[in-house]
Amino acid sequence: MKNIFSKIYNQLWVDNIHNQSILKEWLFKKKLTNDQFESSKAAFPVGFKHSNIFVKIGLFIFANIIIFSAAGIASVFFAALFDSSITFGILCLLYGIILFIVLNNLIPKNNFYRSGVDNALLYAILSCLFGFFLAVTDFKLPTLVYCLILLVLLAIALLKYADQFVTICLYGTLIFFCFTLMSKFPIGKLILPFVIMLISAVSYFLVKYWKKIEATNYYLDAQNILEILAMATFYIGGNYYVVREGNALLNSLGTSTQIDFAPLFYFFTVGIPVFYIVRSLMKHDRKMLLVGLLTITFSIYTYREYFSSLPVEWALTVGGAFLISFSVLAIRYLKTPKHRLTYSPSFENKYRNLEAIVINKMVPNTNAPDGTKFGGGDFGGGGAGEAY
Amino acid sequence: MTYSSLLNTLLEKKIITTELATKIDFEEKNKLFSIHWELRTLLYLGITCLTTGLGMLIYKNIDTIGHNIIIGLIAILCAVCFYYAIKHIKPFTWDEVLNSESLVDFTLLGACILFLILEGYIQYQYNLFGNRYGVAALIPAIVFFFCAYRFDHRGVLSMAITALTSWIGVSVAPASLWKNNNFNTLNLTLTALLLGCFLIIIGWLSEKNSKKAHFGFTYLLMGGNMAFVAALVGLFNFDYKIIYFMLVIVLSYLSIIYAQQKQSYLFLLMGVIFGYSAITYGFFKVTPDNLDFFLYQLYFLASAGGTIYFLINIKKIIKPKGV
Repeated sequence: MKNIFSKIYNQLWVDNIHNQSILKEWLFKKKLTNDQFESSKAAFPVGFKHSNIFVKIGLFIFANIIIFSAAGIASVFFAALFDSSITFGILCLLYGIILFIVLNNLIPKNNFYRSGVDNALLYAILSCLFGFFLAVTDFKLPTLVYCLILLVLLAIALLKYADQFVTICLYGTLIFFCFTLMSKFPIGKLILPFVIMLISAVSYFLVKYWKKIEATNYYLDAQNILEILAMATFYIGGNYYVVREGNALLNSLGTSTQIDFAPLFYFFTVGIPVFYIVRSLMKHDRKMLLVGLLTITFSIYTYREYFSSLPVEWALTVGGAFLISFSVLAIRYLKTPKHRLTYSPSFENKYRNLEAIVINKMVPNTNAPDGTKFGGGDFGGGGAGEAY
Repeated sequence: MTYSSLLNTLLEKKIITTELATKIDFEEKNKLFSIHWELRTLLYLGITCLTTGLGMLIYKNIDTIGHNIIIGLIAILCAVCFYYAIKHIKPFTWDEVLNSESLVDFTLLGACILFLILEGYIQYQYNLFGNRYGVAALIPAIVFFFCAYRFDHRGVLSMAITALTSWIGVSVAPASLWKNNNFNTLNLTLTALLLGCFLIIIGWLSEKNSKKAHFGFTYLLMGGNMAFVAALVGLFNFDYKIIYFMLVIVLSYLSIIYAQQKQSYLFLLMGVIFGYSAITYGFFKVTPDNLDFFLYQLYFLASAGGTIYFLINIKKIIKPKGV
C-alpha cells in the first residue's frame, strides 16, 4: 500500500472509459468508420472487468449479504463485548479496517471499477468507521461535531474512490451541517435560505474550478453529481414552498404563514428554473437542463399549493395537453436544427425494450375506477406480486 | 481532458488522417445540442398527465351537463389519434419497423390509453357487457395485440399483455369473489404460472422464428417475472413444495442460459435472485428449525460468496453457444 489516500483505480483506464465513450459517439454519428473506431478503441485500452448494470446490482446485493453474515459470525465470538459501547465501537473500527484492507486488495486484483462489490464494501467501511465514532462517544457529542467527522470521512473516501453515492452523502452532510448551525441562532433562521443559496453557488463554482484544474477524468462523475446537487440546492434554498414550510417548522408554527421578503422568493421560484433552462440551452449544458426541468416541476407544485384553486384533474388535463402540444411543436420545429439545437439523438437507445415496460407502468389503471369492477390485472406486470 | 487530446493521440498513432481530425475538430466546435430524450420524456409525461386527468374528470363529473361533452371529447381525441396512426401506417412486416423519428408511436400510445378509459367508462356507466366482465376485459387485449403487431409498438404490446393478464385474472376469479377478498389463491397462482410459461414460450417462438423477434424481450420479461413470482408464491404457500422448487430452479437455469446467449443481463439478475430465494427457502425448510445462528450465517456467507464468484466469472462458467 503506497499511500492510503491515493487514487485506488487505475487512472489511465478511467480516462480511457471516457475517451471510448467519445469515440462511440463519433462512431454513432458516422464520423469514424468501423475500422477507425476499432483501432482507436485499441489505442485507449480499459482493463477493468466490464460488468453490466444488472450484474453490478446483483454483485452489490450479494456483497452486502456477505458483509452482514461475516459480521454476524464475528458477533457470535465477540458477543460479550457488545455490552459496552466502547468495546462495540472498537469492534466496528476493527471490522472497518479489515474490510478496508480487503477492499484495497480486491480492487487491483480483480480489476473492479464500481462493480457492485467495491461499492458495497466502501459503504460498509464508512458505516463502520462512523459507527465507531458514534459508539465510543456514546452519542453524546453535539450533532455538528458528528457532521464534521462524517464530512472528513466522506471527503477522504471521495478523494480515494471517487464514488458517486459518497459524493451525494458528502454534499448532503455539508448542507445539513449549515442548516443545523444556522438554525441555532435567531438571525441564522432568518438568513438560512440565503446561506444555503450562497453555499450552493460557492460549491458550484468551486466544482467548475476543480474540473478546470483536474487534468484527469478520475473525478468526472463525482464532479458532475456535485454540479447537479449544487444547482438543485441553490433552487431549493430560494423556493417559496421550502422557505415558507421550513420557516414554520423551525419556529414551531402549527400552520405556515406568509414569510418575510415573500416577493423575493416568488422571484427565485420562478426565475431560477427559467434561468437554468434558458442558459442550459444556450450553453449546451445537459445537467443544467435536467435540473431546470425538475425544478420547474417543483415550482408548478409550489404555485398550486398556495395560489391555485384549480382541481387536480383539470390541472393534469390542461398541463398534459400543454406538455404534449409544446413537445410536439418543439420536435417539429427542431426537425431541422435551429439555434444549434437538434432533435436527432446523439447516442443510441440501448434501453428501447425497457422503455416499453416503463411506459406500461406509467399508464393509469383506468380500467378499474373503484378498484373492483374489473379486478384489474393485479397479478400481472413486472412481477410486483404484492397483490396476492 | 477533452476530445482535443484524444484527437491528438489518434493523430500521433496515425489512426486517422489530419483532414479527418480537422473535420472532427470543426464539427465538435460547432456541435449541435441534442434535446431528443428530454423532449421525448416531456411528451411521455404529457401523455400520462393528460390521460390521468381525463380519466379522473370522467368519474368526477358524472351526472353533470359537461359530462357528455367530456366523453365526446375523449372519443374524438381517441379517434383522431387512431386516424393519425392509421394515416401514417407502414406496410406490415415481421421485422422491426424503424421509425423512432416519427410521432406515430406517441399517437398510437395515446389512442390506446384513451380507448381503455372510454371502454372502462362505458362499462361502468351503461353496463354494456352486463356482468360478463371477461368480455369487457378481453376487448382491450385483442385491440392492443392487434395494434402492437400492426404498428410494431412495444409499449402497446406490454399494455396488451397486461390486458390479457387482467382478462385471465377476471375469468379465473369472478368479480364477486374479488370483492369479498376470499378468492382461491391457489387457482390464481397456477393460472399466473401457466400464463407466465405461455408468454415465455411465445417470446421464445418469436425470437426463434424471427416473427417480430424484438418483441421477444417484452414477452420473456413479463412472462418470466410472472412465472417466477407465481412459482415462488406457490413454494412459500402451498403443498407439493418440491414441484414449485424444481420449477423455480428450471426457470432460473433457463433465464441464466438465455442471458448468456443474448448478453441480456437483466435475465441473469432475475435468474440469480429468484433462484437464490428459492434455494435459501429450501435450505431453511430442509434443515431443523432450531439450528444454530452461527450455521445460518455460515450458509449466507458461503452462498453469497458462491453467487458472487458465479456472477464475476459467468463468462467462463457458461460459454455462449456458437462463440
